[in-house]
Amino acid sequence: MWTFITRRLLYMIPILFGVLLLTYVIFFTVNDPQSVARTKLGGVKASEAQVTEWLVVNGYAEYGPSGKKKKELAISGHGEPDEIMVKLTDIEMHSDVVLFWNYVKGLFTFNFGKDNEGREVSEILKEGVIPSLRLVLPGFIIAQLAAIFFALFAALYRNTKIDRTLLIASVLMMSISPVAIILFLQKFLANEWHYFPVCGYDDDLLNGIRFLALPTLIYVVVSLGSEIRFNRIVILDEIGQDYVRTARAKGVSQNSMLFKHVFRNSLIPFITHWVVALPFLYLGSLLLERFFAIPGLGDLTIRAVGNSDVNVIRALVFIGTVLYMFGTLMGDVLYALADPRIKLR
Amino acid sequence: MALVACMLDSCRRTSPVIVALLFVTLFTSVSCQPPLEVDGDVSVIRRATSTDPKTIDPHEAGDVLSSTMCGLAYDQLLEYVYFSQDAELKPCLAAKMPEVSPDALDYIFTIRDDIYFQDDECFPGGKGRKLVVQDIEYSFKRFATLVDSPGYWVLQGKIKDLDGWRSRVLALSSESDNSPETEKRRNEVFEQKVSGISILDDHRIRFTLTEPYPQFLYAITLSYGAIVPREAAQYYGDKFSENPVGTGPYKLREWRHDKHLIWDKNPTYREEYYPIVPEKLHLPAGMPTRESFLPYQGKRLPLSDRVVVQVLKEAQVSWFQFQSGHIDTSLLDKDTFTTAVQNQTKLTSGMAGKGIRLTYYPSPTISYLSFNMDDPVVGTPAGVKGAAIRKALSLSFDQADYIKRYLQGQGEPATMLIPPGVFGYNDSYQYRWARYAPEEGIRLLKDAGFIVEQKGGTVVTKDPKTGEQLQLLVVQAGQSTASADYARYLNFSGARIGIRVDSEQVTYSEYLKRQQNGIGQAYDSGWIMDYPDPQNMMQLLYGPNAKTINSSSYNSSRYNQLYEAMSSIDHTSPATSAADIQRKKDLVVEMHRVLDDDCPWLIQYFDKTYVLTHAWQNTTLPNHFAYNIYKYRYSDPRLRIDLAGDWNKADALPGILFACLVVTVIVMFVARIVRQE
Amino acid sequence: MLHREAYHKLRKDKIVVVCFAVIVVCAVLAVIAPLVGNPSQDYRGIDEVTKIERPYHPPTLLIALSGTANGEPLTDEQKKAFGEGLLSAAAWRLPLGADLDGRNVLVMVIHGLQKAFLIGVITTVLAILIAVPIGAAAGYFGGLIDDAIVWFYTTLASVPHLLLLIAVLQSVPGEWKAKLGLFIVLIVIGVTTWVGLARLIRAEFLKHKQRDYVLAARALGVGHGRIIFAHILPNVSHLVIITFTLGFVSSVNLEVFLSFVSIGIPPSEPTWGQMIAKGKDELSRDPSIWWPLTSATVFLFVLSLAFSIFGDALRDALDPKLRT
Repeated sequence: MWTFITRRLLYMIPILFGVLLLTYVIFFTVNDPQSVARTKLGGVKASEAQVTEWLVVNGYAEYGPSGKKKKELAISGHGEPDEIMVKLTDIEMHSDVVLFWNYVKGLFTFNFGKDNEGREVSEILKEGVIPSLRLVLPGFIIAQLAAIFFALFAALYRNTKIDRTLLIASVLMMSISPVAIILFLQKFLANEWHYFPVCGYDDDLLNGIRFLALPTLIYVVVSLGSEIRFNRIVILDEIGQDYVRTARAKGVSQNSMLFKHVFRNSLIPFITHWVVALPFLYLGSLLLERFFAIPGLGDLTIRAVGNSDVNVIRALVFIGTVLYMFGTLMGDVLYALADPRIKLR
Repeated sequence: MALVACMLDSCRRTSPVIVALLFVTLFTSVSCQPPLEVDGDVSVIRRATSTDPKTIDPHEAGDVLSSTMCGLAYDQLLEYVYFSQDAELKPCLAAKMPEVSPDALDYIFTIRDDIYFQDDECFPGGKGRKLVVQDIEYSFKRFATLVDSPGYWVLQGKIKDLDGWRSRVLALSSESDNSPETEKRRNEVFEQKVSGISILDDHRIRFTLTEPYPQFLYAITLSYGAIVPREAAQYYGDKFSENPVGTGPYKLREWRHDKHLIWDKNPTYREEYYPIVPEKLHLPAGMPTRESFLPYQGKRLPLSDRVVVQVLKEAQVSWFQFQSGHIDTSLLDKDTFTTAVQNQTKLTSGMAGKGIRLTYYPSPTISYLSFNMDDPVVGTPAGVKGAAIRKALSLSFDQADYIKRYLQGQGEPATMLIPPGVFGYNDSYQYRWARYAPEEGIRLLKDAGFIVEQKGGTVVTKDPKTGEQLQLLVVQAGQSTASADYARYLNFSGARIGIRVDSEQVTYSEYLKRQQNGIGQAYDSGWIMDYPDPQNMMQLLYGPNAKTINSSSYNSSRYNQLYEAMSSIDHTSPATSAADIQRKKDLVVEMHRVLDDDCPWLIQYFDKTYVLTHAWQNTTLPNHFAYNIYKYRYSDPRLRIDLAGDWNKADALPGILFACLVVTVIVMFVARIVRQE
Repeated sequence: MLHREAYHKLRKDKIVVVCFAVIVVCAVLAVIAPLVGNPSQDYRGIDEVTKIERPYHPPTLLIALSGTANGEPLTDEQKKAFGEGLLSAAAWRLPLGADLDGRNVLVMVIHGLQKAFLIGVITTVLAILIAVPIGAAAGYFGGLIDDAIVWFYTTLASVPHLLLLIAVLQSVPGEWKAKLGLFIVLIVIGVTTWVGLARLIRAEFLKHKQRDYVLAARALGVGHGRIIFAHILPNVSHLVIITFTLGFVSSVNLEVFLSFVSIGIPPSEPTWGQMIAKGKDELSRDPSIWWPLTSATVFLFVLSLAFSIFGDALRDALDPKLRT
């Protein structure tokens, strides 16, 4: 068991390395620091000296010989402004290896740097993760419980019209665009009929429930369809197993068979499914957060992309990846614990 | 299973009516909709923004929202006169207008003696101290040495010795070298005297310029000229941008990023009163009437106790919140426009019935297409041919039609570069190419030697050398529906004169890079004026500004000369003669005549802003250059509750109908199960 | 490689047949979309039938049923004119109305359908083209090749998909985006979604390479390429078909999402995502212009539904053990 976990943890190293390399290539080589600097420094109004200074101050480059000379001249307190005004030709951009190394070092010390507006990324993430989880976690749990309930129901009446209706209903729910669900439910339930607040968020948990009620409802509606379908297949799969047939042949009643045996055995795939899905929840829900003005990470992601906010995106990717890898590891371990037939190697 | 069975059973037995009632109570009485926030007698201004403010550090605030937020907490030496239509300045932290030396190089400011900073924990004992003249020096030095500030261009090369001193400080602020010695050295250099900024005595400070800079007073009235206390900047360090400490009317209580900002009235704010409304206040259509300002005359500022700014990212959501009275004002974008406004000037009856007011006014913002004058096809290298393409395209663009279609009338066709209401605007001048005359454009193309083929409605203009259709690629920043509309319209316009106009939408940073390196034939651009001096607009075509703000790299020696002459005249100074003021106006027109020959821009429209305000908030006079107008805003809490108190009552009927539907479905389902069993 | 048995199974199910018919009709519509009309044609102006000026136009049927247009009741004259003209072709020129730009919603929706098919087909085909050789090579050859490939796709799969997609889209050079427009998005979706299929293919190949028929072929000296493509691949082709139908729907929905958060898709493309994104703003008007949004949503719904049901049935028929 422990050897398995150690092996898996070791196995994570090359994967993590790969992910880092991938994100580095995507974010660093393509978004060159100069254009980041210009965007940051007021666009067309930025002067060359400003951009140069910015690149050095932010650790993308260092002064070359000519730049160092200018700097010394500046420190000495003499020298005309023209002489000490740095230019882009006065600096040497750091090589990819150095930048990649700095990048890796930063990520592992959880020093994600600052966002475009100069705020610490780790602080932003800390602030945003709670609202995101408050929205998504209850939604996820409710959706899973409801999905299991309906899936058992469908399995109980499998191959009847009830099963068929439920299945079609869930495919119907899957097929409605989530965007449309949000738009219509928000417009009617909140704005027209005033059953829910249009938007808002409250740090106080109890007070916040009324704001989260509608987005949670929408989250459940959006995810229920595919979850029912998935769970139904898992349960039906289990019903098809030999031991179920044996049990039924022995005269075990339909209901007790379904609940005692099938449900318990289906728990294994369910748990793996949850453990793998959970890490992704930290990102919240991109659209819901935007529409309901919830200050979470989902909307942050969209904004970071829009602003090409490299530090934020790579922090999100890095955390997402690490969580995902631990999630899969946990899933495998749980799988093994729940099912003695599986041997860990 | 017992549970399930029990549930099904109870469903079957209970009369559907009871279930329906249950749902109705659930939907109505336990409705989650909170009532309108009740404020008692506390006057709260509520507004929404579509993004979180970038910063509340006034020296880094380059955008409108950040500047507005800074305007709540900070003051500058001067401010705009509230009831002035020619953007006059008046003393704010200064006791009087500065004394200017005859050579217009020395500006001596005397500061007021009764100004205190807001109470804050950065001060000893938490009590805000009195403003001293050293704060002025410190603030300008701080602004000059912020590496991240987008605003240094307003002082660059203008104040004696400042640039050199700045380079010395910045040379010591590299991140690769942050040893204590460098730090110490940096502080030493920072404390060095800058000869352009000198303290004369306890109340007076002198700015010495390198050359006459008539826009200087406007420049330091921007957010960048805000006066900050050294204690706060040092105490908060990096977090200073989230902890504003100024002399302004409001003090930040809470900033929850991406959610809201709450500002409370500053209890130690200086004694300041709402100005007397001038007798001759004539405001154009769309603006409030003189009478609406009278009730506030002589009241102590700030008028309201609190300002709440909500971050609502979806336009639709902030529109919902406005309709239900959760926010006081709504900037009308074109998408909500027809809901509220008929014929561009009148509110719809539904809106007017709620007591909502509409104001609209032009804003000093121009949208234009700047041709790259270095381009071999449309630029100077192409000579007459390039000019013909630029002019023809300009003539093919129907400003009025574009505004009607895509801006829902929220714009004014641009007749020159200077927007109405700004000094230098001349209504008798008309930019030669800013009109709709595609036939003339075709003629120009023919005269320049292009082959124009007109076959039943479609026009194709070909280059005689290659025999291929003329093509133009426009670079646009960002992807939005608006930019797509614009791209479509340009394409449509080009088709009228047989030129194929395509556009390329790139990220903002890529867009900047293109301009910098002169890649691209034309750029979709716009400019929001920073201060009401025509220089601010005309600099966009000044030769030496090529590749930076002069995106078309236009360089005409005549224009440059005129520009230099024009920008050196200070039309605001009492020392300037009337003849010189007139000369400045004439120079602006003359510069336009140069542009008439070359047509480096296709000018489109000036923005017009539409604002809806609920009855409980007073009307404020729009001033695009002033960011401190919140102190003149008042929101009547009682009137708000009277009017909007029941705009949020839950509507029972749809809930009942929905409940019935749900019950029917459940009953049918249960019935089916029962049959099955 | 549809097995005959599966085909019979599918044909017996009426709903599946209906879904298949819907897909076929949609495909035909997508192909003939250019014949239906030009989506950017502008219909604003005076309506010939009702004689009212309109910035946009509600669906004809809606006018007929409600007796109002643009929130204003029709005058008697207009009603009369409308009643008389109702049978003329002009009245039904805009069966689903026109949007704020005066564009015919029906034509837009059909062009959107064409784009949806482009999106669905190109992304899934691309993903299959990447996944099949990679998965096959990993499963068949094993050893170092397998390790390298598994490392590569695990790395890709470890990055949350949406983030990966957004990040890659963000980093595509502007020139490519300008030249390729929508296609760049399709390519990016394609190259980021192949991992699931590659895993399945690899697992199948691992199983099949120990089977007798493969061992026999090898003993006879058949080349690796031939064994992979001619012998094993036909036996796992059902995976490809299933992935195609299910991947199609998710790609189309992904486009809607990306358009909605305005990432990647040029706003000038008449896709459903763009219609929904634009329609969202029009919804908050009063009277709201809900028909462009609703039409796009309904068409999207129908297509997704048909594909999902058909895909499910196909999977059940071809490989009852498989679950996705």
